[in-house]
Amino acid sequence: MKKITLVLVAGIFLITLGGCKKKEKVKVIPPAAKQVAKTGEEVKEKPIPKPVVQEESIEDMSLEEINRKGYLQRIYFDFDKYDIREDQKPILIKNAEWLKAHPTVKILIEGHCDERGTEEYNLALGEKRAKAVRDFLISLGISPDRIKIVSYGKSRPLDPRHNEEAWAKNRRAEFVIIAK
Amino acid sequence: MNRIYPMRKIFLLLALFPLLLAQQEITIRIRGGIPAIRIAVPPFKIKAYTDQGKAAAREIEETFRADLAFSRVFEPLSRDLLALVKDTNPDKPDLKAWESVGASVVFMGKVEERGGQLRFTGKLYDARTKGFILGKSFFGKAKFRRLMAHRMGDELLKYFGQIPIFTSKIAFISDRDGNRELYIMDYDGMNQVRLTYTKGMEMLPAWSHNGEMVAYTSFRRGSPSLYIRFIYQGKDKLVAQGGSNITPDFSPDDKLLLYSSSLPGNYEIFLYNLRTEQRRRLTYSYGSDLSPKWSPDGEKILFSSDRSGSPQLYIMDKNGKNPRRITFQGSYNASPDWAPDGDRVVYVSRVMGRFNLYILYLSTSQVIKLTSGMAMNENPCFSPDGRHIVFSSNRSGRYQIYIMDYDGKNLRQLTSRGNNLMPSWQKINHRR
Repeated sequence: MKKITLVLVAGIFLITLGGCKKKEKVKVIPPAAKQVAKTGEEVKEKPIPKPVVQEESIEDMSLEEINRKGYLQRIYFDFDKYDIREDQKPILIKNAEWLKAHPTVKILIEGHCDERGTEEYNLALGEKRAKAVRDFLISLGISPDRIKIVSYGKSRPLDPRHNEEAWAKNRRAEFVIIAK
Repeated sequence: MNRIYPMRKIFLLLALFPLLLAQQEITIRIRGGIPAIRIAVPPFKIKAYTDQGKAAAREIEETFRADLAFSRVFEPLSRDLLALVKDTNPDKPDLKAWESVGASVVFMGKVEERGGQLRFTGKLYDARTKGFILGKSFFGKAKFRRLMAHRMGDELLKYFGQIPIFTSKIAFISDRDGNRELYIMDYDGMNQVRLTYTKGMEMLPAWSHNGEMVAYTSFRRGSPSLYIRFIYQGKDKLVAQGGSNITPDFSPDDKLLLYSSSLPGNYEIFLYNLRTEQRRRLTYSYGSDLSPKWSPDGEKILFSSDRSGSPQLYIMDKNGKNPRRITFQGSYNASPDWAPDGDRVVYVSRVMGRFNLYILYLSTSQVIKLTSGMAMNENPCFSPDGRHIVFSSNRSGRYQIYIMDYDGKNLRQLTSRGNNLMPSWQKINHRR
């Protein structure tokens, strides 16, 4: 929610600066018709702009832009494990909420591993992680046909170093939006 | 093909030799294999007219010498010993003199430049019986100079009943140009050629025995599918898709392909018929069954499975029946490859978080550790004659491809640009 609030504030800021983007529609109240006062004098009424802010919509963004925004957060796993950690469940619940709010979105869940396994078993482990995340999202009411999975094993580490810190970062599931 | 018989005998001897000396472990590790054939290779006679031709002729000689020194079949006489005998007439070597410096056989080489082509002629003599053994001649464009040298080396190996390995190739994966693509190279690391341009990701290649196909996994369509690349036709054939499809292995006759697919829910082993395009599921286990490898006689299948809780090695019949576990040391044994002698299995074992290569002798259950250190050592694969092992390691920082002898000696790095990994050394079906 913090992000959305930030975007709103930024939007208002832009509008007050007068920097109207092409997609922001600011309705202008048409100038009132000339009115004749009882005295016969013309009174001009000044229109004020109606404050309109448009909610940011993924409709208007490319898939690349949407994925850059990071609406869906990655989660992390323990060494050699593929069950969802308790501390990671809130993140998945949030992701599921977002997916429910955007019912047309389809996602790819990528399973990743640290380097402490063979290429083959890491591919298998990454797949198990991706499946565990998929099953968790399904249990939260997300339709299975909105979810694809893939495992990259240890081939795409976030942190290329060879220590506990790097390994912890690399044992993860990532979410990629593939259709909006 | 009368030679098949002596070849088999020598092979059997080779296979048994380490066992005969099993108690004297140190001795095997240093000497290994058969007693090497002491070969004298006096300086080649070179008749070249252009600088290019001269350089190519020298490279033929150096490549041929390097092949022999690498083989563990031959023991080339040192330069000092060679210098003791003044003998440059390839048609009439002084065999008595060569015998006196300890040579068993003498190879007289000659390279001639002729009309833009090179001709490499070699004659092999027996220093003891003073007889002529064989003569071979290869010619071609200068750009095939290394191939000519390798072909000559192969002829020598074949004469002594050995599997020709010098023209064999290694397939591997490299990210030197940005993303992981499929490459091949000569066994000595030369002539590295990129085969795929998918900009997806390729992994885990496997050579066919005929040297014309490489099966590999590609992410070009998103999820990992299995392809066969027909190298000299430049064509790809999609073999398996849906789920993840990895770790292919060609049968000794190249007609069947084993692979692992996660389509059933977890990785199971499948058998694919290249001609009929039919497939059959071989394993039904709760765990991930991976890295199936044909036994050299095509009767058994070696694979890894974590059905017991952690990855271990198993052997089953070719129809998937009678799986039996063969590794009992360590909690993580994977990525196996079966030696052409059928007795040795090389694999990766994780011990205290370190990944090293080990060899298991099936007949004695003896286990020998081949590598050590903190680095990762992965995807070991035997040479066609089982005397050498190619593997990948990040011991120098990035992943690179290395070869060493079956006893861990003579380590050599073959690649240097980018990360290079998942090597597969072409197998040769000597039973055909």
